[in-house]
Amino acid sequence: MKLITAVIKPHKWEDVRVALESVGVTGMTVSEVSGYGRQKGHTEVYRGAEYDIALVPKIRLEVVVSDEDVEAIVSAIQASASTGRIGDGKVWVAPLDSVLRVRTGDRDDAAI
Amino acid sequence: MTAPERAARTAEADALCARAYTDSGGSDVGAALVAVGGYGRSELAPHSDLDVVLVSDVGVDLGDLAHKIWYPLWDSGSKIDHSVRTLPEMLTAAEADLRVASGLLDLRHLAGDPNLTLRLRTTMLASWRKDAKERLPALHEMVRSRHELIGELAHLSVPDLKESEGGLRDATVLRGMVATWLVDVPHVDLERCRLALLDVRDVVHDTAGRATERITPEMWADLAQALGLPDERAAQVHVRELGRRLTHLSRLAWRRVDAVLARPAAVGARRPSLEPVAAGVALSSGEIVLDKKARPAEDPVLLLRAAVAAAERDVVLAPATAARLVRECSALPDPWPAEARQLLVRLLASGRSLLGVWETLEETGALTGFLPEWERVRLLPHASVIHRFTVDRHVIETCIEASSLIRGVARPDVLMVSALLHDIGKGGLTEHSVAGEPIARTIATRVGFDPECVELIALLVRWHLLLAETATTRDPDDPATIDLVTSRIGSVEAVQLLGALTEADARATSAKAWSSWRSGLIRDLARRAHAALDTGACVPPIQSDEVPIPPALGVDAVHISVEPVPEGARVTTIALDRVGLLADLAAMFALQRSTVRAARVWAQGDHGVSVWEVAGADLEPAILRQKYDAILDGRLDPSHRLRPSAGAALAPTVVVRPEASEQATVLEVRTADRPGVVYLVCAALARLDVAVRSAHLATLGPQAVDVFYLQEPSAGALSETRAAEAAHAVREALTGPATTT
Repeated sequence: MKLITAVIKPHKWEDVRVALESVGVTGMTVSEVSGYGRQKGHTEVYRGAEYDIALVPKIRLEVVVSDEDVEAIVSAIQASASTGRIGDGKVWVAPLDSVLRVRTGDRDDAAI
Repeated sequence: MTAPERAARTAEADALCARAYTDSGGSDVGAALVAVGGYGRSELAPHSDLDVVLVSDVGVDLGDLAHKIWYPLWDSGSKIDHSVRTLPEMLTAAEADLRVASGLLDLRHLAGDPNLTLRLRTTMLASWRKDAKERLPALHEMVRSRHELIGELAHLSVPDLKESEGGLRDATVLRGMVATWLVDVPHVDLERCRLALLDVRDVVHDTAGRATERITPEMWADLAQALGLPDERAAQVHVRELGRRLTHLSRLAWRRVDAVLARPAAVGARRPSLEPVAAGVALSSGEIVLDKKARPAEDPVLLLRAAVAAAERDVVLAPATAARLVRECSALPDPWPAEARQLLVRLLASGRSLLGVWETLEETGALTGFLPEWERVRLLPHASVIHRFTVDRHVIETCIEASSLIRGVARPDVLMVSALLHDIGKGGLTEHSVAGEPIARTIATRVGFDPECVELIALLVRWHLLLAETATTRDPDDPATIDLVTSRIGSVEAVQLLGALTEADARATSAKAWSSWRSGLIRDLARRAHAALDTGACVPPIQSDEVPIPPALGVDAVHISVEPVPEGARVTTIALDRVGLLADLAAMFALQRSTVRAARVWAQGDHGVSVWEVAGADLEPAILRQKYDAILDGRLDPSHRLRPSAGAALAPTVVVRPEASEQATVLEVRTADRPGVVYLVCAALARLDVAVRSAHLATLGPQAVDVFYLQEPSAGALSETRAAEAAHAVREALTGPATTT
């Protein structure tokens, strides 16, 4: 089992959701987050006043999947979240020791 | 579910209690069984507890009487909340706990010694009255914290009939306040609402099958059917209206309590004092009322003037005054006069105190008179769960939020009216911003805005969701996204207004709707749209007419002429130009208490010419000249009399606009409209030896928006350093003395 975490541009969330549904992902956790990566924060001048754009708004989504589905899902996220411009985001995959479905007590793959 | 059914339930419970007392061998002397709380008021709902107390005189031994009474009551299946106390213990408990005291105010004899019950009741009430002045502040604090915790019955998505603001507990508290004899409330109204809410609670108990006071969404249909109302919406409006009315009565009663408690002990005969605050309007005991000069039948603007006087001072608009104005004021003409439009904007921009005044206007039917479209959104529930309030309350909250953003926009009047109208299209099947646009256009036209402003208001209503929707769903780096916004909102002015309206709307919706994440996206989009539209020239051009200069005008002389215009006068002044001339003229008007609506200033040869649009037609050139001479001679000191007050709610904004003109430095000032603003600005500039070559003054609701064209006395724009100095001096002059803590 793996945890796939993706940080994407907010306006791409709808496209990514549709793409994930098409590869069979039926549930995920979505958060509104802020941060910066290689693009860094920057300062803009607006009507004479400086605005600090240090943190850029992003969407973070998390999906728990079986090992065999990882590649298809990562590819679906990459294809649907990409604009080709800086700040498109990141996707990372981490191994999971255990998963439990609270309602039924199902464990691991049965709980996904 | 009606009062007779509650009475029948109570009678049945009374018989049960009386039988239990008698069967247990309860004495007719020295002991009594009494009902308290809701049971004491004979208002048992289907699943209410029976609140009973077995009370005894000092020295009377009850033995195991209590157990003998409670067992048959428990066995009957009733839920009882019981206690056993002596009479002094009851008084001590009531003194120690306001909740106990409040419950005991409604105690009622059930069985035993009726004289003991009567003595207890009389002692309780006497003690309540005696200590009222000490206890009411604590009761108010308790009520306030309950309101903060629970919310308002009128606006909660899952209303609590008992504990919320405007609920049954507030009605009981109101009865307790009346029992102090310190204040009075409209009894008929209070009882009507209270009984109607009890009817609703009976249905809720029956529907839920248990003692609950919360109306969950699925209950509305059952409520409508049981109360004989056509549908769920009607049931919601019915319950929320009752809550709103009780909230209003409660706030009014607490204001009156505060006034009574704040009043110093009377010395000699007490006469009502009337402090005049506006034409026909006076302040009396913390309430706005009419003075004896008021002529409602001849003054259609009086209602709005009274409302603004109340809102801007954060005091009550006396409901009786509002009701009289509704009955007697002639209808506003269509379109409204400028004074009415300005007053509406000032009312909307009055901040948090708008809420109480608006409720009074609604309660008394005044709103229906000047804004009949309000009925569309009144008590309308929101479809989306993100909203905290019903649509009408959301709109007022939006106005309150917008009032703190007016310094950021060039047209605060347009912002405030757009905030009022942004959701006016809700309640139908068409998308509400589409439905709202023509309604907003009709209202703005009636309110008397010029066609350009009417279109701006309609545009803002139509696209009030544009920034929020686009910012979260479109790529801000894509030029097409910015094009989408700018193609709809075609000017810098409109983008600024839309940014402020979006922020106010979101803040009024819920904290989640204006999280730092969401606001960051929206502000970024507004900034990009602004940059795309900003061509740098959006200040009014210098306008200078040629006026004939009177011959032989002395060095210190001023020529003043007054010409009447609709709703005021146009005053033209001509004098030899000098640094400080404009400050002296502005002081002349301010000390004459003339409200300056607009002014233009220009130099014509050696002379400074100014044209002032002022309110009030009864200006005498000779009197103005006397004031001017007195200022010039030093007999009148405007710097003292017109100094700014400390601690203004919103700080002024003073911005240098270097791009606006090549010949002069343009200074844009936005500040609270008050007498002497122009004087303070001009005097600060004169002290720096800066000449004002032209000025455009406008008052838009509560905000003065003034543009000054500045030059060095030797002509030419100010250097960057001098311009910054000038802006700093003006800001300091307008801010007033710093508040110390």
